[in-house]
Amino acid sequence: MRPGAASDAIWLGASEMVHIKINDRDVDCDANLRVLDVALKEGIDIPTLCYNPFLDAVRTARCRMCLVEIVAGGKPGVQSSCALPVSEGLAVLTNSKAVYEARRMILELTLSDHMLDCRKCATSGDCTLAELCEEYDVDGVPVCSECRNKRGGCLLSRGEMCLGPITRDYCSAFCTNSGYRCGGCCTLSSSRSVLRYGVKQYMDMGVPLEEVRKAASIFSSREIELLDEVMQELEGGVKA
Amino acid sequence: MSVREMKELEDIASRGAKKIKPEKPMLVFGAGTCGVASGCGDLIDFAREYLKSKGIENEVILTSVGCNGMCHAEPLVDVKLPGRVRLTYSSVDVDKLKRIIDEHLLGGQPVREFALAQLTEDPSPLPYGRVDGDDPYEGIPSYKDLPFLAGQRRIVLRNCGIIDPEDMEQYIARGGYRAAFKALHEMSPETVIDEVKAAGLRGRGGAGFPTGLKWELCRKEKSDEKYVICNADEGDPGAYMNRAEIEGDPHSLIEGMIIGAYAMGATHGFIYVRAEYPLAIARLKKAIAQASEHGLLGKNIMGTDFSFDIRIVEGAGAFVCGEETALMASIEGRRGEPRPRPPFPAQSGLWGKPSNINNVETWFNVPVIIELGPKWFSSIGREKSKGTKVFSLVGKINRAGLVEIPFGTRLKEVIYGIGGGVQNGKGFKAVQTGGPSGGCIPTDKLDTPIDYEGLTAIGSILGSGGMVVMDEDNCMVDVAKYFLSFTSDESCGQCVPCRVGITRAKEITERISKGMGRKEDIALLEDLARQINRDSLCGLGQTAPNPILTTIKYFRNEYEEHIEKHRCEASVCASLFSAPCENTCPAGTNVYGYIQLIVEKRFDEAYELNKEDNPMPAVIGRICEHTCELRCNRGKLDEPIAIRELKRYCADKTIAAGKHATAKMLDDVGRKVAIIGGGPSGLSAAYFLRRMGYDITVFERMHELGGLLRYAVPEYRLPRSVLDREIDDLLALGIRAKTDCRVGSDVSINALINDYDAVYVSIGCQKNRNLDIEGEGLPNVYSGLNLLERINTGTLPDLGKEVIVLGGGNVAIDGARSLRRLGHSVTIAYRRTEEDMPAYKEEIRAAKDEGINFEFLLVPEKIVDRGNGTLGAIFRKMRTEEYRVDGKLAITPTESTVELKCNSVVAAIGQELDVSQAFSEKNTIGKNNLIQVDEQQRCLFSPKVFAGGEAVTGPKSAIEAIAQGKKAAENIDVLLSGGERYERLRALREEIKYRMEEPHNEERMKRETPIELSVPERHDNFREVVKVLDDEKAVREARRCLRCDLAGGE
Repeated sequence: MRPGAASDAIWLGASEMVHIKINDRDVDCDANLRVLDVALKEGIDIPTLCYNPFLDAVRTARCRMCLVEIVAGGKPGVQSSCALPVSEGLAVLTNSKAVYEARRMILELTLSDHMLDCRKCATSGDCTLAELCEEYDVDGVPVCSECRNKRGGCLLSRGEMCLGPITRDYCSAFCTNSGYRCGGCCTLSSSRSVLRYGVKQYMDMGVPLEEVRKAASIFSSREIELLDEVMQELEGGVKA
Repeated sequence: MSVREMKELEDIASRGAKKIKPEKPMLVFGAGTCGVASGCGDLIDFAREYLKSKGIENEVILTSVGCNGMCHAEPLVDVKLPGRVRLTYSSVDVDKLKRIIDEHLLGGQPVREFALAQLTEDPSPLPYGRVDGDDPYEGIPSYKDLPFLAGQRRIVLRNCGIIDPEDMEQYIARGGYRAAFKALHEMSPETVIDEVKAAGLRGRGGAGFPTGLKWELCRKEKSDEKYVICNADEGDPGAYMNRAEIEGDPHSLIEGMIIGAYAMGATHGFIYVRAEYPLAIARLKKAIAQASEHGLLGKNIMGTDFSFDIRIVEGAGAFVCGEETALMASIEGRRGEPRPRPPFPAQSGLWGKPSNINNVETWFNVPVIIELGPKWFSSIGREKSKGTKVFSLVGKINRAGLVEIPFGTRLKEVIYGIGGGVQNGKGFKAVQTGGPSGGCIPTDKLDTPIDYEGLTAIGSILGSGGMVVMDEDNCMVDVAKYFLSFTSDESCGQCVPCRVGITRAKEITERISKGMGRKEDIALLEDLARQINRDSLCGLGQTAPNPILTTIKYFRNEYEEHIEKHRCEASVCASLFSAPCENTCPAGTNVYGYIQLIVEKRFDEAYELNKEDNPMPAVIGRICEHTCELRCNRGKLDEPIAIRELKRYCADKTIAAGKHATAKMLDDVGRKVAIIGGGPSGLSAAYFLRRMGYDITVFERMHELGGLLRYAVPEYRLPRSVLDREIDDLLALGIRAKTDCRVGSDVSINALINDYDAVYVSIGCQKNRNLDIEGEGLPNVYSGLNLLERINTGTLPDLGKEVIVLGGGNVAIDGARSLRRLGHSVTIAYRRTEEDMPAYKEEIRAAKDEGINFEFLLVPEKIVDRGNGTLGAIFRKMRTEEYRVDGKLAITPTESTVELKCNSVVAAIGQELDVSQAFSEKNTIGKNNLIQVDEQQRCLFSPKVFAGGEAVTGPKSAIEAIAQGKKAAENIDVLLSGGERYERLRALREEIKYRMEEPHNEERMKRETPIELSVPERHDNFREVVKVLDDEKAVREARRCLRCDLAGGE
């Protein structure tokens, strides 16, 4: 069954046509559809996590990844497109700044409640959440967030060089919880906010950034470039 | 029988009217939930038995009514004698009730001591079945004279507290069902909707959507079946308006729903009320049964072809079910989860049919609008918000209860006027409106008129009408945490921003309240809050961040203090302090420690422990403003511990035994500090620095040390021997003092900077503020501090018999009481009212006892010489206006003046820093005419010069000055030794050990009070008025301490 087909079935009213606008595209569509259905038919990508075309009755906008911004024809603001009925004159944006920010926060919040133990996960390698996190530049949390040594006994405070603050946490802090330093195996976090937080942590603990750079040499040059940028930004901030 | 014609309705009405004004004496009990909780059940039982024992149970009518709003005065009992007006008694107990029955009900004479007010004016706007018009009693205030009711206007609560809610005939007598009759018989549905639209009625649930418009949308939908729903799922903490409305007048709701259903063409109605409201449900059921019996519900209502019935649905109490789509899901029997709108309920609501949901209070307004017309209704309130709104005014307020005010009333009028201000004389901090979806409104926004837009503009919402008043004991971080844990519990859990976002926000506030907050947390919270607000599915999530946003907006400093200084000023966040007393004391005195030592009868050590934080316990034990006692947890149980008296007790005990506290000292370090000013702040700095091993010299311009303690505080409050003794103890530590040495003229500040390693400036505020009026320079006009100094040094000139003291602070009272002792006849003239006097309340009381005359609302205009040593002080009479945002009454001049004759005038209207005396260096004086310092108390012109005390803070208490001196000692030590010696000194404090056992003393015990000299004994002398506690009392008092330090965190 094609996506959206089930939703055609639940609204059995008279089949009227309405005119709506998605981003810059003018679309004429069946008045019984919802915005997500129309967008998918038109080939406009709207990410979803909870949407399942075969379970149409429970379209209650739970994950909220499919948020779109209403700019005309409805109450201004963001709404989940899976549950938003089309209506004459409705105009939505699927990729505005507000939408992007909202989706990022939803991914971050989702990750904050997530196991993040990808090695043991059945969907590993075919995970929509992971793909979306990649796409929206969300790393969630660094290794430190899962490290039990946070409250005292931090390896850094004992003078050991640990990459925990800037490494993405796909490992449940396996090494640090066993008393070994984080070597950065799960690769450097690609999120600026995580890096900024991590670099600040090094600075607060008095770890020379030169040493961090040295330890980070295992990362690829593209990754190190981002790290350098963040470091320069923060060092500049200190000087100013 | 069923009502088909107006005549039949009027027949019932006349029967009901006889019950409202019966021919027999009637006793009326307030039996709303508040009345029941305060014990009206026992009163009713007693009255029944008592009347029976007299054999007159048939001669007297007993009846119960709902809440009339005065929940603070419950249990309320009204007496209605035939031909006389109804009279209300408040806070009635069995003994009072017995007297009321004997003297008033049977004897005809009201018991004036307990009488609250009489109902001379019926609050209802409708002309039917009124209770007023009978003979009033003389000398008893009327309802409208009560400050609680003065600003109110009752439309919704028109019947509450007046009629028996279980008796439909009384409701009909008050004009009930006339509006429904009129709508069904004379008006088309469209006209009904037009009238509601024209009235400007908006939804009272909080969102404020125009009711008429909502009805019209529902009316236009075509469907075989439509529903009207009443939302009585009241779930905000602190809100109980809907409950009291239903309990007090259930038929109003039914009538409103009949009219609404007729207008929209609905056939079935639902009242969704939470199961926690059993009384409301029972009364509603009864009311529905009565209405059905009389053909007011059911088929062919009132003889028309309109049919409508109402069912009650009991909700299980989920907060989210107040959201309309979740509420409908709950009625349908599904989980109470909201769904996205559109489609709106008017298009597809309950079971997919067009539905309309309105709040209880919205329905209550409908019959009145139909009866009196939209024009009348829209004349009340403001441009965009018409009519009235009921609030439940609760929290730390003097007069809690249900308040119905017209829109546009200002918050300050509700809180200070109707509510009577904050309980126990504490300071107002914030008012929370709109429950977990609302925000906290601070003092400076209390000018805001109450309406939908006004409250939204300042970050809160009108909400359903909860109004929770918070005082300085509330920590705003804790308030945010509380509401977040409420919303995170109540979140239905469907959508990510609400379920996860609120939980994360809650965790952040939790860690802040534990002192583990991070600097970026405030920004993070704000960011998170904005996103939760934008992205959540329903109203619960969208509004849940409001408490965070408003507390951060208005109380950011509290968040910062928690995060940066790990300090909770309000003594709420238990992980951040050991006991509220210690946390509140500016000097951080270990109160529970020395109280425990008193329990153990180790008085010398108690004094010693006291001295670890406070160089002068005997002095402070007499004159402290004791803010610690305001926060004492014992005060929540019965009365606060008499901390000040205990402090004085252990000090006096040691001194009387001729012992000296052994101050622990560190070895000498060989560095010198100069202290300018020998007042409490300077002496405190000297004391702590000396104990850290520094070489101290105090420079004092007067002949003796002590500052205002010696030259301003009168002897009857602080005997000189006590002051001398404690100052001698300080000097014995090796502190050098140079008295009669004025810095600036006798020695230059630059010389001190060169000769010493650090300088501490604590020169105080000693200049009297000028009156700036004509005649100020006359010979017998003195300033307050000058007068006190002359009294204390024995250089008082002849003032004549009559003296007028201008001012309302402690200096004014001290001056007046001193002069009274010297045989003068004294009048204090203050420009505001007595409540607004800044002096300590106990001092004002003592002054009155001693025969000092008080005149209020007088502002001096000029002083003229009337010859023969007589002065005429001419005052402008002031009158009070509305409340200011700080709770004081604003004053404005009137036309009239008054002249008071006297022989001398003393102006004690405040002190300020003597700017000419301070140093001429650049940047010394800040904008507020005080010395300006940075965060480490350093003066801006030299890193070696520190300043503190009143010269920096402005006039404050002695303990505040001591705390400033202590802080300066720490800061100076940081400069000279890197703070290491201060740490070592603090560590010595731990050496005095006391028992660490929880006391288990929660049973009620009275606070011990010291004996005072009787008024005649005070005459002609300066003997100390308040005596020290005796041994037995002191130990008993100390045993009351709850040892909050041992209770541990949460």
